[in-house]
Amino acid sequence: MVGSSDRADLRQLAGKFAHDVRNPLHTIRLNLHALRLAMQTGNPLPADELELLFAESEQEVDRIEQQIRALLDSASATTLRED
Amino acid sequence: MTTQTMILVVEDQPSEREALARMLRMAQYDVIATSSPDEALSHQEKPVELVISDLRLGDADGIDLLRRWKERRPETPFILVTAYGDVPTAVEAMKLGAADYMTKPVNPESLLQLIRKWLEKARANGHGDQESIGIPPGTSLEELERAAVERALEEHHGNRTHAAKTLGISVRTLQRKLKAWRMPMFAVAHPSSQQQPSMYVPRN
Repeated sequence: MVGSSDRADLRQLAGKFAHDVRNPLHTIRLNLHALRLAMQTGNPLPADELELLFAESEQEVDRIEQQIRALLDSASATTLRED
Repeated sequence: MTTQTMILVVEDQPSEREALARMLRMAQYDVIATSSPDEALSHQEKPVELVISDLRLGDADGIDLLRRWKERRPETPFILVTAYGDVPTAVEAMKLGAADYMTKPVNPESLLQLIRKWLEKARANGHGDQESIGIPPGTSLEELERAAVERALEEHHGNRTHAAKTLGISVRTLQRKLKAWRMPMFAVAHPSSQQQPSMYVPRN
């Protein structure tokens, strides 16, 4: 049974996780839209800018994966302590 | 030669700052990208027509920037962006004169529409007009909450589940508010399309 203190911890954890995932998703979404605008306007981004956009987006995907891994590790550590 | 409209971006995270500046430049805006309130305020003398700022800027605060900017330039529309998405923060920001707020990850097309809308309003007020853009003074908390709820429902085409997520409240809380205000009860997403239950994100 989850107590009120556990629920408060869970809410805080969920809030932090949401914040840490929303930020990189924000970057990826903006970069995708920049690509869309380049396509729609026929005004391509310079090659170096494009390379930077791809590198940033990949980095943000890695950030999200790191957050997920940290959450899973934290959950495993909690389970082990309870065992 | 047409002069591009100048937008000031304030975001402490480099990748987010560059992504937003790049997207706005692709949308034909002239962009000054800054990483802190002090850096942003150093550009106050420039013909900045709109500011987009993150709510959390490391140790600093987008609301504090809003207050300081508005002391000298109350006419500049401010759009605040946040990854926390809770109603109390949004309401506080709008009481202080923010034109609008959005939750990350923003819908870029919605952001561009908001930018066009607030630029039009600011220009309709005329250059040099000191009237603040945004919510009129004396607006009640309930009216601000209602405006935030209406905005979220409009953004999500009436979908209560998605609107509740954006507002950082549960669907049940949203439904109670709609009922209390006698607003139409819009659609709820089909359970199979919901990926996670709505969770209230507490303000830190």
